Amino acid sequence: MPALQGGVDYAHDSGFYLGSWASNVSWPKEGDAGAAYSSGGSLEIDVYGGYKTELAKTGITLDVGALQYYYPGRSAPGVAKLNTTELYLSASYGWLQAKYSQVVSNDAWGFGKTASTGKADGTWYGELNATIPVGELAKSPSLTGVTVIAHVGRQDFSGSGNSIADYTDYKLGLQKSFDNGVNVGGFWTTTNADKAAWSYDGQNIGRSTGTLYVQKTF
Amino acid sequence: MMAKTLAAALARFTFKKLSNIALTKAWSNGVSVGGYYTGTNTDSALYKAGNDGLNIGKDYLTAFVQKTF
Repeated sequence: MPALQGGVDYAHDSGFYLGSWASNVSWPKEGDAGAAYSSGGSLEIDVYGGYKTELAKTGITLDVGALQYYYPGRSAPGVAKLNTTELYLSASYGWLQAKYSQVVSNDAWGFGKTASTGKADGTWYGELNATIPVGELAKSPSLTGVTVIAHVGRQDFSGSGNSIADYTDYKLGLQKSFDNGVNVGGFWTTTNADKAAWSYDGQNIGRSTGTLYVQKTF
Repeated sequence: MMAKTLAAALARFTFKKLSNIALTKAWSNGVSVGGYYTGTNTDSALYKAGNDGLNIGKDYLTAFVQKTF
Protein backbone atom coordinates (compact mmCIF):
# COMPACT_ATOMS: atom_id res chain seq x y z
CA MET A 1 0.00 0.00 0.00
CA PRO A 2 1.45 3.42 -0.90
CA ALA A 3 2.36 5.75 1.95
CA LEU A 4 0.66 9.13 1.84
CA GLN A 5 2.06 11.81 4.10
CA GLY A 6 1.51 15.49 4.53
CA GLY A 7 2.04 18.34 6.91
CA VAL A 8 1.73 22.04 7.45
CA ASP A 9 3.80 24.39 9.62
CA TYR A 10 3.13 27.94 10.69
CA ALA A 11 6.02 30.01 12.02
CA HIS A 12 5.80 33.51 13.44
CA ASP A 13 8.61 36.04 13.27
CA SER A 14 8.78 35.97 17.07
CA GLY A 15 10.06 32.38 16.92
CA PHE A 16 6.86 30.58 17.93
CA TYR A 17 5.64 27.85 15.62
CA LEU A 18 2.86 25.29 15.30
CA GLY A 19 2.61 22.34 12.99
CA SER A 20 0.97 19.07 12.17
CA TRP A 21 1.97 16.04 10.13
CA ALA A 22 0.02 12.91 9.23
CA SER A 23 0.70 9.61 7.53
CA ASN A 24 -0.97 6.30 6.96
CA VAL A 25 0.74 3.62 9.06
CA SER A 26 0.28 -0.08 9.64
CA TRP A 27 0.46 -1.20 13.25
CA PRO A 28 -0.03 -4.98 13.70
CA LYS A 29 -3.64 -5.83 14.52
CA GLU A 30 -5.22 -8.57 16.61
CA GLY A 31 -4.39 -11.91 15.07
CA ASP A 32 -0.92 -10.70 14.04
CA ALA A 33 2.20 -11.31 16.12
CA GLY A 34 2.78 -8.37 18.47
CA ALA A 35 -0.70 -6.97 17.86
CA ALA A 36 -0.99 -3.36 18.98
CA TYR A 37 -4.54 -2.60 17.85
CA SER A 38 -7.96 -4.20 17.86
CA SER A 39 -9.21 -1.67 15.36
CA GLY A 40 -7.76 1.39 13.71
CA GLY A 41 -4.02 1.82 13.95
CA SER A 42 -3.76 2.87 10.33
CA LEU A 43 -3.14 6.59 10.82
CA GLU A 44 -0.55 8.70 12.60
CA ILE A 45 -1.24 12.36 13.38
CA ASP A 46 1.51 14.44 14.96
CA VAL A 47 0.81 17.88 16.39
CA TYR A 48 3.63 20.04 17.68
CA GLY A 49 4.46 23.53 18.75
CA GLY A 50 7.42 25.34 20.16
CA TYR A 51 9.74 28.28 20.20
CA LYS A 52 12.92 28.68 18.22
CA THR A 53 15.44 31.46 18.71
CA GLU A 54 19.08 32.32 18.26
CA LEU A 55 21.02 32.48 21.50
CA ALA A 56 22.35 36.07 21.83
CA LYS A 57 23.78 36.31 18.30
CA THR A 58 26.12 33.38 18.92
CA GLY A 59 24.94 31.48 15.88
CA ILE A 60 23.50 28.81 18.19
CA THR A 61 19.80 28.17 17.57
CA LEU A 62 17.73 26.78 20.42
CA ASP A 63 14.43 25.01 19.83
CA VAL A 64 12.11 23.92 22.63
CA GLY A 65 8.70 22.40 22.14
CA ALA A 66 6.13 19.68 22.65
CA LEU A 67 5.01 16.94 20.31
CA GLN A 68 1.90 14.75 20.50
CA TYR A 69 1.84 11.50 18.53
CA TYR A 70 -1.74 10.34 18.04
CA TYR A 71 -2.82 7.00 16.56
CA PRO A 72 -6.61 6.74 16.32
CA GLY A 73 -8.07 3.34 17.14
CA ARG A 74 -8.60 0.84 19.94
CA SER A 75 -5.53 -0.78 21.50
CA ALA A 76 -5.34 -4.56 21.64
CA PRO A 77 -6.10 -6.03 25.10
CA GLY A 78 -3.13 -5.90 27.47
CA VAL A 79 -1.15 -3.52 25.28
CA ALA A 80 -0.07 -0.06 26.42
CA LYS A 81 -1.29 2.88 24.33
CA LEU A 82 0.68 4.05 21.33
CA ASN A 83 -0.32 7.69 21.80
CA THR A 84 2.74 9.48 23.14
CA THR A 85 3.52 12.99 24.38
CA GLU A 86 7.06 14.28 24.16
CA LEU A 87 8.93 17.45 25.16
CA TYR A 88 12.11 18.31 23.27
CA LEU A 89 15.05 20.68 23.32
CA SER A 90 17.59 21.07 20.54
CA ALA A 91 20.62 23.21 19.90
CA SER A 92 22.01 23.78 16.42
CA TYR A 93 25.21 25.45 15.30
CA GLY A 94 25.98 25.55 11.61
CA TRP A 95 25.87 21.97 10.38
CA LEU A 96 25.74 20.42 13.87
CA GLN A 97 22.65 19.63 15.93
CA ALA A 98 22.07 18.03 19.33
CA LYS A 99 18.53 17.12 20.41
CA TYR A 100 16.98 15.60 23.51
CA SER A 101 13.37 14.38 23.62
CA GLN A 102 11.60 13.04 26.70
CA VAL A 103 8.26 11.28 26.98
CA VAL A 104 5.91 12.80 29.55
CA SER A 105 2.92 10.50 28.92
CA ASN A 106 2.53 7.20 30.79
CA ASP A 107 2.84 5.19 27.57
CA ALA A 108 5.34 5.46 24.73
CA TRP A 109 4.52 3.83 21.37
CA GLY A 110 3.03 0.70 22.96
CA PHE A 111 5.49 0.48 25.83
CA GLY A 112 4.05 1.28 29.26
CA LYS A 113 1.95 -0.05 32.09
CA THR A 114 0.73 -3.61 31.48
CA ALA A 115 0.51 -6.74 33.62
CA SER A 116 4.24 -7.32 33.16
CA THR A 117 5.74 -3.88 32.47
CA GLY A 118 5.84 -0.47 34.15
CA LYS A 119 4.93 3.06 33.09
CA ALA A 120 7.15 4.48 30.36
CA ASP A 121 7.13 8.18 31.28
CA GLY A 122 10.73 9.39 31.33
CA THR A 123 11.59 7.45 28.19
CA TRP A 124 14.09 9.53 26.24
CA TYR A 125 15.86 9.81 22.91
CA GLY A 126 19.10 11.74 22.53
CA GLU A 127 20.71 12.40 19.18
CA LEU A 128 23.61 14.12 17.49
CA ASN A 129 23.25 15.07 13.82
CA ALA A 130 25.73 16.50 11.37
CA THR A 131 25.08 17.63 7.80
CA ILE A 132 28.58 18.54 6.72
CA PRO A 133 28.91 20.66 3.55
CA VAL A 134 32.22 19.11 2.56
CA GLY A 135 32.44 21.05 -0.70
CA GLU A 136 32.01 24.41 1.02
CA LEU A 137 34.43 23.59 3.82
CA ALA A 138 37.13 22.23 1.51
CA LYS A 139 36.61 25.04 -1.04
CA SER A 140 37.39 22.47 -3.68
CA PRO A 141 35.55 22.71 -7.04
CA SER A 142 35.63 18.94 -7.38
CA LEU A 143 33.71 18.59 -4.12
CA THR A 144 31.05 21.22 -4.88
CA GLY A 145 27.64 19.98 -3.74
CA VAL A 146 29.05 17.11 -1.69
CA THR A 147 27.47 16.65 1.74
CA VAL A 148 28.26 14.09 4.42
CA ILE A 149 25.41 13.13 6.76
CA ALA A 150 26.10 11.54 10.15
CA HIS A 151 23.72 10.63 12.97
CA VAL A 152 23.90 8.77 16.23
CA GLY A 153 20.91 8.34 18.55
CA ARG A 154 20.12 6.58 21.80
CA GLN A 155 16.60 5.40 22.72
CA ASP A 156 16.10 4.52 26.37
CA PHE A 157 12.75 3.19 27.60
CA SER A 158 11.72 3.76 31.22
CA GLY A 159 9.66 1.32 33.25
CA SER A 160 10.35 -2.21 34.39
CA GLY A 161 10.50 -4.71 31.57
CA ASN A 162 10.68 -2.07 28.84
CA SER A 163 14.45 -1.77 28.61
CA ILE A 164 14.58 -4.73 26.22
CA ALA A 165 13.57 -2.20 23.55
CA ASP A 166 16.50 0.17 24.22
CA TYR A 167 18.83 0.72 21.28
CA THR A 168 21.49 2.91 19.76
CA ASP A 169 21.15 3.79 16.09
CA TYR A 170 23.65 5.13 13.58
CA LYS A 171 23.42 6.64 10.11
CA LEU A 172 26.18 7.66 7.74
CA GLY A 173 25.44 9.11 4.31
CA LEU A 174 26.95 10.89 1.34
CA GLN A 175 25.13 13.08 -1.19
CA LYS A 176 26.19 14.91 -4.32
CA SER A 177 23.94 17.73 -5.54
CA PHE A 178 24.10 18.99 -9.11
CA ASP A 179 23.03 22.41 -10.39
CA ASN A 180 20.26 20.86 -12.50
CA GLY A 181 18.33 19.77 -9.40
CA VAL A 182 19.55 16.17 -9.40
CA ASN A 183 20.82 14.66 -6.14
CA VAL A 184 22.46 11.25 -5.95
CA GLY A 185 23.45 9.66 -2.69
CA GLY A 186 23.48 6.77 -0.34
CA PHE A 187 23.37 6.05 3.33
CA TRP A 188 23.96 3.21 5.74
CA THR A 189 21.99 2.65 8.91
CA THR A 190 22.41 0.21 11.74
CA THR A 191 21.27 -0.34 15.30
CA ASN A 192 22.03 -2.64 18.21
CA ALA A 193 18.28 -3.20 18.76
CA ASP A 194 17.24 -6.51 20.24
CA LYS A 195 15.96 -8.70 17.42
CA ALA A 196 13.13 -10.18 19.51
CA ALA A 197 11.87 -6.74 20.55
CA TRP A 198 12.11 -5.16 17.12
CA SER A 199 10.93 -7.84 14.69
CA TYR A 200 7.79 -7.30 12.65
CA ASP A 201 6.27 -9.75 10.21
CA GLY A 202 9.32 -11.98 10.67
CA GLN A 203 11.74 -9.20 9.76
CA ASN A 204 14.29 -7.57 12.05
CA ILE A 205 13.56 -3.88 11.53
CA GLY A 206 16.67 -2.90 13.47
CA ARG A 207 19.04 -4.64 11.06
CA SER A 208 21.77 -2.86 9.10
CA THR A 209 20.68 -1.51 5.73
CA GLY A 210 22.26 0.39 2.87
CA THR A 211 20.23 2.68 0.58
CA LEU A 212 21.07 4.30 -2.74
CA TYR A 213 18.89 7.04 -4.20
CA VAL A 214 18.44 9.49 -7.06
CA GLN A 215 16.27 12.61 -6.68
CA LYS A 216 15.24 15.27 -9.12
CA THR A 217 13.81 18.57 -7.90
CA PHE A 218 11.76 20.71 -10.29
CA MET B 1 -12.97 47.04 22.60
CA MET B 2 -10.36 44.62 23.85
CA ALA B 3 -11.44 42.10 21.20
CA LYS B 4 -11.00 44.71 18.47
CA THR B 5 -7.55 45.60 19.77
CA LEU B 6 -6.58 41.93 19.86
CA ALA B 7 -7.92 41.37 16.36
CA ALA B 8 -5.95 44.35 15.08
CA ALA B 9 -2.80 43.01 16.71
CA LEU B 10 -3.33 39.57 15.23
CA ALA B 11 -3.93 41.08 11.80
CA ARG B 12 -0.42 42.53 11.89
CA PHE B 13 1.11 39.12 12.61
CA THR B 14 2.85 37.59 9.64
CA PHE B 15 3.04 33.84 9.68
CA LYS B 16 5.27 31.87 7.39
CA LYS B 17 3.47 28.79 6.18
CA LEU B 18 5.27 25.69 4.97
CA SER B 19 3.28 22.75 3.67
CA ASN B 20 4.32 19.42 2.25
CA ILE B 21 2.78 16.30 0.86
CA ALA B 22 4.49 13.06 -0.10
CA LEU B 23 3.49 9.83 -1.76
CA THR B 24 5.74 6.76 -1.66
CA LYS B 25 5.30 3.27 -3.08
CA ALA B 26 7.64 0.63 -1.67
CA TRP B 27 8.11 -2.92 -2.95
CA SER B 28 9.34 -5.93 -0.99
CA ASN B 29 12.55 -6.03 -3.04
CA GLY B 30 13.66 -2.76 -1.40
CA VAL B 31 12.78 -0.45 -4.27
CA SER B 32 10.81 2.70 -3.48
CA VAL B 33 9.59 5.41 -5.79
CA GLY B 34 7.83 8.55 -4.78
CA GLY B 35 7.50 12.26 -4.89
CA TYR B 36 6.92 15.15 -2.58
CA TYR B 37 5.84 18.74 -2.85
CA THR B 38 6.99 21.51 -0.55
CA GLY B 39 5.22 24.84 -0.68
CA THR B 40 5.56 28.07 1.23
CA ASN B 41 3.93 31.48 1.40
CA THR B 42 7.22 33.22 2.12
CA ASP B 43 8.21 36.17 -0.05
CA SER B 44 10.84 34.73 -2.37
CA ALA B 45 12.54 38.14 -2.54
CA LEU B 46 13.27 37.88 1.18
CA TYR B 47 14.45 34.29 1.22
CA LYS B 48 17.63 33.99 -0.77
CA ALA B 49 20.45 31.82 0.50
CA GLY B 50 24.13 31.72 -0.33
CA ASN B 51 26.13 33.67 -2.86
CA ASP B 52 24.26 32.12 -5.76
CA GLY B 53 20.97 33.61 -4.52
CA LEU B 54 19.26 30.23 -4.22
CA ASN B 55 15.58 30.90 -3.63
CA ILE B 56 14.58 28.92 -0.54
CA GLY B 57 11.14 30.56 -0.46
CA LYS B 58 9.79 28.89 -3.60
CA ASP B 59 7.72 25.76 -4.09
CA TYR B 60 9.41 22.51 -4.98
CA LEU B 61 8.36 19.22 -6.48
CA THR B 62 10.81 16.36 -6.03
CA ALA B 63 10.67 12.86 -7.49
CA PHE B 64 12.89 10.06 -6.27
CA VAL B 65 13.76 6.41 -6.67
CA GLN B 66 15.72 4.45 -4.11
CA LYS B 67 16.90 0.93 -3.46
CA THR B 68 17.56 -0.45 0.02
CA PHE B 69 19.77 -3.50 0.46
